[in-house]
Amino acid sequence: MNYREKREPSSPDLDDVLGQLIYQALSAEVRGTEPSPRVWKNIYQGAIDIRDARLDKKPRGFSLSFLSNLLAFLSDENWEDRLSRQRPMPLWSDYLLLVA
Amino acid sequence: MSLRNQDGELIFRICQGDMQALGVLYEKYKTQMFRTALAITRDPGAAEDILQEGFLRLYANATRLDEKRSLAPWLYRVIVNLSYNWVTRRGRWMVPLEHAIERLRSGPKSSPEKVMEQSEVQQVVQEALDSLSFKHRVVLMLFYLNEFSLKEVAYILDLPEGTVKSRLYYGRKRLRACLRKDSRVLGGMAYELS
Repeated sequence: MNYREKREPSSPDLDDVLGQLIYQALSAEVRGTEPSPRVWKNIYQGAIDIRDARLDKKPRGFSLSFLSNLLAFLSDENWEDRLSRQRPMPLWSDYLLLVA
Repeated sequence: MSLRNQDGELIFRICQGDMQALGVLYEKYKTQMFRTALAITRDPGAAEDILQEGFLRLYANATRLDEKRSLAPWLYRVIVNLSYNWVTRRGRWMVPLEHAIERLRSGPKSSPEKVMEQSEVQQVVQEALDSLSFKHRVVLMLFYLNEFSLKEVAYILDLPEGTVKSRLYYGRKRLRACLRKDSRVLGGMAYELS
């Protein structure tokens, strides 16, 4: 129930009088005001920017960056260490020590 | 059968990239949202910036909105929050109450033309509203100017309904006290408010 629905014209009380005064004072401050047309122009442009930024973020098929990342990974990785971590196997160097 | 309301249909279209739908929603809500921001900030430039930011947030979050629920409460919530942030940044409503009461007693500082347009009582009420803290003024504004129910005000401000009720009570009490003190208020009305 809002302020207008609560009011009963037949029995105006103190809060009704005050409520009317508050309404009149507040509405006088904003009556007849409208935002300027530039606001919509800015919103429209801003929305297009948001949409374009989202489109830029979406992955578009095969990327060359994937290939370069893979090459960097293969060249940097210490394969012996990596394989030994994945499977609990002795290092190749341990076999060499045994043979020696 | 679709349970979407008119706003829901427009939000759905916005999600599909329909910019015209955003324009329809803007036309529908621009005036009330602008006036709400203006009533809080008292600065038309700030109110326009807040309106702009509010609709950009609507566009950015359209996919997360519930198409079956009314958009207005959500939009009001955004506009009031943005207005609150603006007011906080600017340090408005931080003036001590005594200063506001002193200003109230010293008489109107508006132009004579404006004073002619406004009744004395209205002027006094406006100044008394200025003397309220932001949290009390915004509750009175949403309840009386925007005519929201206590439940709706509670949703918009993200507060328990009881807190809204007590702020409304305190706001009215303070206003009554300010109006009683002011000599510009007609004797009969001052008596009525006592």
